[in-house]
Amino acid sequence: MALLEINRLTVDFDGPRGIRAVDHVELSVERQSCVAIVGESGSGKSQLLLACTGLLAANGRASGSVCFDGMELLGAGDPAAQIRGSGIGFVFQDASGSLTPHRRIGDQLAEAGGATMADAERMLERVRLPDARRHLAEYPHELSGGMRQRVAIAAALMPQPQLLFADEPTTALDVTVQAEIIALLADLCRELGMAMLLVTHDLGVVSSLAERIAVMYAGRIVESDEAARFLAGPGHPYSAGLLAAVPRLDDPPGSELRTIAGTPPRPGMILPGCRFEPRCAHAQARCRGEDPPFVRHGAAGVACHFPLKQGER
Amino acid sequence: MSALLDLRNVTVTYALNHGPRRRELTAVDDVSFTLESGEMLGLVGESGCGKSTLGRAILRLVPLAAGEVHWQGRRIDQLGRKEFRDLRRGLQLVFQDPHACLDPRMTIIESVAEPLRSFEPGLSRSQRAARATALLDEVGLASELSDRYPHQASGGQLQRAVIARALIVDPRLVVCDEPVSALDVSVQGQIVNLLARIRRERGLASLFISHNLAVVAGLCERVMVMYLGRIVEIAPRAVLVPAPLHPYTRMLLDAVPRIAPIARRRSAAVPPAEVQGSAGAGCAFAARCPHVIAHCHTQRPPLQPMRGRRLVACHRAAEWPAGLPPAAG
Amino acid sequence: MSGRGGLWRDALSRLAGNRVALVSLAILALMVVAAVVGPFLLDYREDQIDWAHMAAPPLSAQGHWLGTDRLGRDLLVRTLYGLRVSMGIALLATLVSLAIGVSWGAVAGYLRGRTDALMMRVVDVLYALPQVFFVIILTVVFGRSPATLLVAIGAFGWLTMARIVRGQALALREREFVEAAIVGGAGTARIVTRHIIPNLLGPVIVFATLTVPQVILVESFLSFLGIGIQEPLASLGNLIADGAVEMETATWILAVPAACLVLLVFCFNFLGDGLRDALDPRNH
Repeated sequence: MALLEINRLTVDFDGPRGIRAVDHVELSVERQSCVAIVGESGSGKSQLLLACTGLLAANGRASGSVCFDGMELLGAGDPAAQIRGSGIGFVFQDASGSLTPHRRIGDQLAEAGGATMADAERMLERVRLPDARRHLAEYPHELSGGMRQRVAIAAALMPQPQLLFADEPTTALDVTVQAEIIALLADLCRELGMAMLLVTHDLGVVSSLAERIAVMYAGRIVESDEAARFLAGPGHPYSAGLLAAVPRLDDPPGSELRTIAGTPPRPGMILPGCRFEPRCAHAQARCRGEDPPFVRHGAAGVACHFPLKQGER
Repeated sequence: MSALLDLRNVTVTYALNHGPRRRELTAVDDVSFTLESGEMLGLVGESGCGKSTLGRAILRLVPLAAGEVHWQGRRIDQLGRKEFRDLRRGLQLVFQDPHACLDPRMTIIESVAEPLRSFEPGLSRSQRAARATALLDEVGLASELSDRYPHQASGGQLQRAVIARALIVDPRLVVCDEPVSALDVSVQGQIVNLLARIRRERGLASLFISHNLAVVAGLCERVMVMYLGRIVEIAPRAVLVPAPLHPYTRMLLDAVPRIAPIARRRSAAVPPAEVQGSAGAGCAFAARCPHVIAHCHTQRPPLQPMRGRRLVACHRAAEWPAGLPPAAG
Repeated sequence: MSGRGGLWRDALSRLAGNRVALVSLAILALMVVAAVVGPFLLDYREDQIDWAHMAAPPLSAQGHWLGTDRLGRDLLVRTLYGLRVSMGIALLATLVSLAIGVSWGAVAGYLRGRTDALMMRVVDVLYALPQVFFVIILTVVFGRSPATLLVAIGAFGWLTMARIVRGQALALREREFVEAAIVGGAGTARIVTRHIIPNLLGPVIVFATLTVPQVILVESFLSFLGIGIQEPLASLGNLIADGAVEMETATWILAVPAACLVLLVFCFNFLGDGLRDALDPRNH
């Protein structure tokens, strides 16, 4: 049984028009593995994470099942206690999501794990922060962005979780610091035997870190596969478009960037057929009328009537 | 013929607090460069390097602490407000966040047409609307969106409107401050391609500011690299990418993510010291540089010309004329 | 053709969903109608003395729905007149406050620096003056009339508005769309009128609806003290003053205008809250 099993998870928001942000998502994370969910704005990826940890906004409703180590997370009481008690850590995009500005770092870390200052210091060393003892007495704003994020990661790891949720952990950081944080996360997962569910829009992050990649579009998972195979040749036209759209240094200068026409759909816009059809270069008549189901072939799965063949990008 | 834009020893500072003991942050530190008519010049650097401040200083949205700005051969940083306003027609700006730089209480077409009210006051309302519509067409924004409010449109659509607004007065230089950073990846390319096309069609000069080196290198013929308020390297992209002369440029190039299932790097045992605030007496990059020597901490390296129309601010640049190779691993 | 109405329409529909605010609005509308039209429909005039029924309790005497005061004047009619005067002064004074306060604050906040400092020192100085003494001095010099009262209240009412608007303008000035307008060649006047003021109308409207009850209370208080509206003119304040004297024997003479005042203040406050929620841009 996988460490985390998400089954038919749906997130709806109340409002003048009810909005479905996440639509019957199924995902599993094995022990000690790293799964990345890739998506753009409106894909629902952040809402997915928030629903798993009970952090949805007041007008959001989650239904379905999120099963962690055999325990159902949805609908259980206080989310914060749940996270701490059940072995799940959370790293936010902005360290200020997990660090209080008016308390010292050492105090916050010790409180996070119910641990001592010595444990906090050890954890700071583990996240490769030099001069750890000095930082224990400092406040978050005295550190740079990259160092704050390391502290936030340390705070998430204090209770020794089995699973780490990370919501865009490097997006707010500089490029040179991002590379370091990615490498750090990869090493920590290995060293601590931890699993990770990472949500990001950045394909560069994903390729250095993930073993499995799932692509979300308009609230649905449209493709899911092993990272190596995915990066070599994805099956869904959207995935292929995303990979092609990343600007590369070795592109011939002055060449046009490859793009995906149109814009990502706003949450709440529901189309009868495939949701990607308006932007898809390979779309055919069937795509407009019929919503493609998610079809598995072994370890891979794709929701497309005419998936791309291997080697065709 | 003089350059279109000529900056000489420009310095911009911010006060960190007010009162008797003012502490200052030097956001832009003695920056000099020229931009030719019709040229696409890239400015690359990470957060806190002062690139946005530099862009704003050129447009006189923040005051200069020192230095001169020359526009079309004429010194403009000392002009009175009214005289400068007449010049603004030639110098426009595309902002990073399209949702923030459009007045939420004005429709898209009203925002696009607004500069005309100042620079061509003789136009009637319908004439302004016609001009704005023509420009929205040029940037590829569907006409049914023109009567919408910003919160009803997507980031990519709004950014097209922002570009239209910058172009409506027919400027000679457009400063683009991170124009695609706030947009989704699948949409970024559309805006970058649009900017390239417009520049080709109108012969426009542009200062393209971004933290994304891959985008800048693809779009701009010449690239400047900034670190902590100082320019550390200027070079044509054809030599900057394969053979960078400054260690920071090398670090930026190495940090560009590669989409390939490569073997993972081991994380550094000690992270590079991450410096905040202004640099000190020596080289700004000394604290993080893998090639640092004692001299670097005491003496600030000047921006020196090298072969092939390049400039580098590094004491040791002459030691690796073929450029620094990529870091191992 | 201009879609500007679209944003206000959105806000109105949000307000329409707020029941408490709607009820308050309805009650206020009713009160306005009653104050304007009511006296024409009733039999008695405001200064008409009914010698036969002095200090008559409500519903006891012929045609006097809410009774009479100790001089035999119909209480309902007097209350309605009082409502007219009080609401009239409050609305006028608030409009004056708005006009002066918004312009003053917007210019000060946008220009910053020395101009701002100077303009806000003026506000600070005026703020420090005790309003009541000022009113007394004015009434001594210019005589007691509603106009004097209006000037006295208006002279102080704009101060808080100016401070609030200045704060909003300071924040708005840093927003990127103001920078964009500067880059687009707009001058100070245009930026303040087309960008700054429209974007702070939300908080201003809310504050104005909360100012009206305050002004009513100030006017009532001054009239209660005898330095505001004078007899035989009625205002809620001097009606309450009258009623206080008879409180133990003829409670209704106090209760009716007091209830009216309370209802008025409550309704404006609820309406103001509703407007604030409706105009909050975060609800988009």
